[in-house]
Amino acid sequence: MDNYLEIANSPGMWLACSAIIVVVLVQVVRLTRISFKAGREIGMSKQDMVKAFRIGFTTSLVPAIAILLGLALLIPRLGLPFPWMRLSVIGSVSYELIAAGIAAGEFGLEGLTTDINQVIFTTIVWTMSLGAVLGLIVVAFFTPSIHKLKNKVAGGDEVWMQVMTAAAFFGAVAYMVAQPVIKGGAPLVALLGGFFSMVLIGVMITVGRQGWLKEWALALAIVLGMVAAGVGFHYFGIGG
Amino acid sequence: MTDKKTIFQEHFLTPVEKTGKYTLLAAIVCMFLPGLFLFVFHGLLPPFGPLWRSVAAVWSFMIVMGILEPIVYYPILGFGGTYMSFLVGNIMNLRVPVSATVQQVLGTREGTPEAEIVSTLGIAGSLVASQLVMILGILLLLPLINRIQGSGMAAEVGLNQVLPALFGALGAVFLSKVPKLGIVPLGLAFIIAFLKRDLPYSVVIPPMVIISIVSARIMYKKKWIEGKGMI
Repeated sequence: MDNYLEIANSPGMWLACSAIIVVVLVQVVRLTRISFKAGREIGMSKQDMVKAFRIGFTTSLVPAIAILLGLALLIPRLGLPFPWMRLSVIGSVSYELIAAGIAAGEFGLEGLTTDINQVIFTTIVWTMSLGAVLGLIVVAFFTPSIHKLKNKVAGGDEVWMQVMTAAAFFGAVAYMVAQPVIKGGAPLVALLGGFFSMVLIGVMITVGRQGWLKEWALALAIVLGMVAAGVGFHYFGIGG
Repeated sequence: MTDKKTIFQEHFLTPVEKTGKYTLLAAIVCMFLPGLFLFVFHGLLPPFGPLWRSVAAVWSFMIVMGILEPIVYYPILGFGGTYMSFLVGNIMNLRVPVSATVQQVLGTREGTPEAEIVSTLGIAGSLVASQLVMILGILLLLPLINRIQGSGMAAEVGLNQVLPALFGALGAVFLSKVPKLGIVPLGLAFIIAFLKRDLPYSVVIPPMVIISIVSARIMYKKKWIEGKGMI
């Protein structure tokens, strides 16, 4: 391990990661203005439009805090600015972790461990960036002709498209789910911890009717899985 | 009516498309700034072999999701909402429910100009909220970070296991939501992992994605799986 985290947390990295946030803000200001103007011209009331914006704002506050918990999971290994950028834009906790794990795996690392160095960190950064570019290109160029695209892809069958998306994701993660089970030790403890926490949270959501937990489920289950691994090591000497 | 349509086309769809396209292109450029920073100021470049292999592994599933997700979510997100949502992410866990809620509360009909505007504004509000929370959160996390890192061996063991913990949680989602879809990829993955547990992901993931999709297709054709509420 070298001083890669110093670079990952340096002012230059902060600057490089902030530029895209400016783009997001420019976009949201422009689209909001266009909507208000067009809405008034087609006879919508200003109150209704303000209400729409306000509902969007208030319903997102708590779920956004859940995203913050996901952010805290990435920071110890990848520094602050880069995960902040990734989760503010495009990303989701699972995608970022999977992409980072794949890149680390190419160097023979078993997950995002303390063995990350400058070269591995750089590869993780590029993998996460290049990996997400496809979706943005599709949206940038094909949104106006999305109906045409829909009929070309998968014959316009929307249900099959949902199945296919889920199948692609499952295919991508299946081997990484199986690995910790075969390896045993701390990875297995973490996997079981994550698994049973998720099951428990699921029961709390459905049976206990705690709908608000939905947004928190994944990040919370991950944290509990990690805690299980830490506890397993501290008290039972598993893994490490 | 036609007048309203023309106004909507000229004063909403056209400018939204222009803004959406150019901001997304700018975002694509900005996305590579961290990588460029590492190269220009620290001379760090990823070695070609590991980079293209990891990117190939990621693209093998992202190409499917990257094309299908905008199509699947478009009816809810709408035109402006699609541009915004795919730039800021967290689509199915945040933007889709927000857009649906806003349209429901204001009682607009799906696909109408009113629904388009309401969805765009709702997602705009959502986006402002999440960026605000992220920025405030970062300021709060900043002083805590060094403490987490220097807090001993047990914490390090836990931090090292973030990926298995994620996969345990995802495994539970698999089994509860779409157990049948998981049978083939998971079963096969366990056999492969049992035989060889440290294969490079670039070798395993692309064929697994294809096998998983093909088996899903067969099950779908035979009507073993229904597919509603899957993602």
